[in-house]
Amino acid sequence: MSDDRLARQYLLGLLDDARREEAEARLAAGGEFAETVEAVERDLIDAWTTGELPPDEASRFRQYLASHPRTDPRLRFSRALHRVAETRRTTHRRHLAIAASLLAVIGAGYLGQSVWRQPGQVRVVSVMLQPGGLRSESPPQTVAIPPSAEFADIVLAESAGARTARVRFIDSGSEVWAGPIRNGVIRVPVSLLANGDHTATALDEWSEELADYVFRVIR
Amino acid sequence: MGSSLLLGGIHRPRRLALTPPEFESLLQAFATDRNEAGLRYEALRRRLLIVFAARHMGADTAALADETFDRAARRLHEGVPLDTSAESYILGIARNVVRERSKAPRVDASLPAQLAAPDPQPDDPTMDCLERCLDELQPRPRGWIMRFYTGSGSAKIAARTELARELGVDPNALRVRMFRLRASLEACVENCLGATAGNDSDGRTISHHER
Repeated sequence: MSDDRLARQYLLGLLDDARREEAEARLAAGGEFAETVEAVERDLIDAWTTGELPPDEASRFRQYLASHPRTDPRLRFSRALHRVAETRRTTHRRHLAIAASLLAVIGAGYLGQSVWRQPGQVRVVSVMLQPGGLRSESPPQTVAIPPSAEFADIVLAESAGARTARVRFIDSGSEVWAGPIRNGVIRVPVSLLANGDHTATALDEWSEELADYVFRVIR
Repeated sequence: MGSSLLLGGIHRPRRLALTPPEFESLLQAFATDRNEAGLRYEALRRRLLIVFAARHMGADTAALADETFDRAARRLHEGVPLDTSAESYILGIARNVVRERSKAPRVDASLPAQLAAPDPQPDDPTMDCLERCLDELQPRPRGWIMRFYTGSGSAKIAARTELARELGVDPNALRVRMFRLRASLEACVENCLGATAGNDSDGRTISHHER
């Protein structure tokens, strides 16, 4: 019997006396099995709070919960954890949907780049980049920065799931900017962008690299 | 219900008249290093609560744990030789406590109110604290936690299988890894809620501290 199955049966009171005493001894001794028991205990608490325990197991685990002094805060924590996880997932999906919509709208109107004056009187140059690494055969996409621009709004196409980005100046290898991706767009002060080739890298929430975008800045 | 004293940051049971030297004997049985002894003591106490709960000993299992440590401390202070690990020795005493109490098992017949509590509301401080504690995690482990605890049924199983594959671990190793993260989150939330300011780990009031 695997340790996680043994732990589950132990916590549900399904072991005979001999196996229960053996499980208790391993639990008290600490180590990997003890951690497994505590992890399975949390799984059972979660299953209890979400109503996923079969009736017979729920009945058994109810007695365990009634006998444990930490039941109240652990149930509250379990419910809160699942609530927060679901809320964050829903929010994340909504953001992705908004980003996808924005990209579709922008993509339809974007055939190059544009400059406009925003309500806050900030001059922004906007451009959409397609993903492509340094080894891409096509020449770098161009970001032409007019003298009046203060920021570059760079739309990173196909960046769904990305949370942050960093921009490096290829010649020096130095990172010139890092920040959030909002609705598929990064806003970089043009003062940080020298003339020459850059790489923008989109990262997910675990800082895994999702895509590279090579672009050439000209003024 | 019994309560505990804090001795150098370690909960010392005081259900019975346990003197500081007796408690020192208990800690020495775990390790000569005080920090290590404290950690092993706290870990065993947590596991004894599981042992008592798994044996359905009723709502007073924290007091049973105190009583177990109390007996162990007095015997060790009297010079009873320890021919096994402290954990094994104390588990033996815990079993004796269970046997004595099993003559009149006390499993609550009625469902404790908290087992049927409603889902937390948005203004529940637990939710607020959990949000804060999650934001204190590094992005990568926070992402793992969110993925591990999202969904239900087959979708949840599929998400966990995928996460285990990505991390290159088997499902049980993933569960333990997530448990460690969760335990740190639980502690963070408990601190955030201020529970530790006036309560010990069993939620009981600590009347005073002792060093």
